[in-house]
Amino acid sequence: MVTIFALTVFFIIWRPFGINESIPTSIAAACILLLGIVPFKDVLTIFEAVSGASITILSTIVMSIVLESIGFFRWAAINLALKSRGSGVLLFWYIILLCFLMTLFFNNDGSILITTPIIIQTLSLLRLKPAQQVPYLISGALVATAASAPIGVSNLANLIALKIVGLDLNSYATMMFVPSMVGIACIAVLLYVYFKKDIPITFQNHSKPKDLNNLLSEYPTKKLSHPLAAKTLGQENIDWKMFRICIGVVVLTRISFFALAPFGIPTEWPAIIGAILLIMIRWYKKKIGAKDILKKSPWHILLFAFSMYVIIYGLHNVGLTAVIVDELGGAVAKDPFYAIFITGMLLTVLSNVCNNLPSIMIGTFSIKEMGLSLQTMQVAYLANVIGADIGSLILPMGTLATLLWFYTLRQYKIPMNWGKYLRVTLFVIPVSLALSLLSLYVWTTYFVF
Amino acid sequence: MISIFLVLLTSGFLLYKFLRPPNALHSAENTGETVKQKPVLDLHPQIQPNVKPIDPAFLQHHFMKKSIKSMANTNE
Repeated sequence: MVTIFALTVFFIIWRPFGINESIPTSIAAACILLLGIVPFKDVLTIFEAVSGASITILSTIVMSIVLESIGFFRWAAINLALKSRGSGVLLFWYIILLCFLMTLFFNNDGSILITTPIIIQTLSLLRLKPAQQVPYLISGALVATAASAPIGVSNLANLIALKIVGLDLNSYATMMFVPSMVGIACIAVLLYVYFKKDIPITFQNHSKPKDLNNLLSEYPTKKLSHPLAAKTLGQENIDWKMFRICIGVVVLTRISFFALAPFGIPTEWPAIIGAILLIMIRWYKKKIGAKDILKKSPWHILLFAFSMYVIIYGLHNVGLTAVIVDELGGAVAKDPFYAIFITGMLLTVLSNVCNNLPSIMIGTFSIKEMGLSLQTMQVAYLANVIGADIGSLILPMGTLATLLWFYTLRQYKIPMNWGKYLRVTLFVIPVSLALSLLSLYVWTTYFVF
Repeated sequence: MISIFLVLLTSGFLLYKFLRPPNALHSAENTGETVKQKPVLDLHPQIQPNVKPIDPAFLQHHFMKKSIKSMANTNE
């Protein structure tokens, strides 16, 4: 079982011939089911456990695909270049803010895939050399990935395990928003301190708001255009009404996750309605059908989440979680402080060794079996999430989003390697992780419970 | 729950600010103007257009055959 798991993780990270990550997990899940490690009667239970979370994330990705196809994100690069007003420092903070907001309203993987080309376009407009772009790109990627922690719906890993510990989205946000924001703020400040010398004070290609025509004429439409961009900038009429309606649908969908949770309405319903609404608006205004959505949507997410859950269930059945419970159960049960720090550190190590999605499942199964009080179990689970969303950033293989980011940089020929990445994350992540976990303890002990 | 609504509304407004087309395009739309891009072929100011004057003989030949009346009829 451990060999199957190790091989699966190896192939997910390596992805030979660019194969989809759901292929190794599906093969492994099929082997586990055939070997009888997980009985076939549990298949339906597992499907029920993962389907809601997967459909929610899938719908969010569909929304971003629809918006991208109508050019929703095409002005972001020019806006960043204009708003920075020639200041490298201002640009740094605007990029951090944009990446945070994109993850808050979409999800971590989608945010990485959309914002990385936007940042490269912005930096190219401002004529930064590829090596000078690195501080902005790393900072954007780390913040975009860590920003999936404050609300539960920004990350598949957070959503899947939520039900197991008896939390809903509102209680998650009440307990998690402040501690994870402390962690994200710490990441941003440390990134600024680390890159302070590399960030240009001013750009030679100073862009003032009135320079829009210059920026439009310099916009690298072919070489650096967004992969899904349809037309050349400035050559088409802008449908302002449609733009406002679309952003309204995105924000309302996000709000409805939280508004409808107390009525027992699962998150997948508002997510599906939001995605259908955007598809209909696009059809009404642009006469574009849903064919491209069917082609571009990552339907394999359902298969990936299901098969990964089968693998972890298999590890649980052969006694891996029992080992963790035996070794750490006593210490975790002592006090919420121990529970938070031990599970947070455990998840950090596990995520960096074998990716955060399987790790958070292993962690959740383990704390569920430690016989903890509800309060301790919930804070231990939230520490798991901090470990999986923030601690996992130390190595690129910690999250799928970081691997996608490396892949995107290679496409744009930006110089980046694991060593360069590791030097930054070792300076930024351990301190931010410790501060987040400490904030979780203080916040939940003195303000929530 | 109200605080998360406020956070999402504020964040949504900020995201709108980042993603919307620039203000200059907005005002251009209201006034009916368009934002022009730089011309693709930007000629040097010293380069003069190569325009040849029309040959007077051609004009004479052309108009000699026509009466004033017929020219008036065809708006020539």
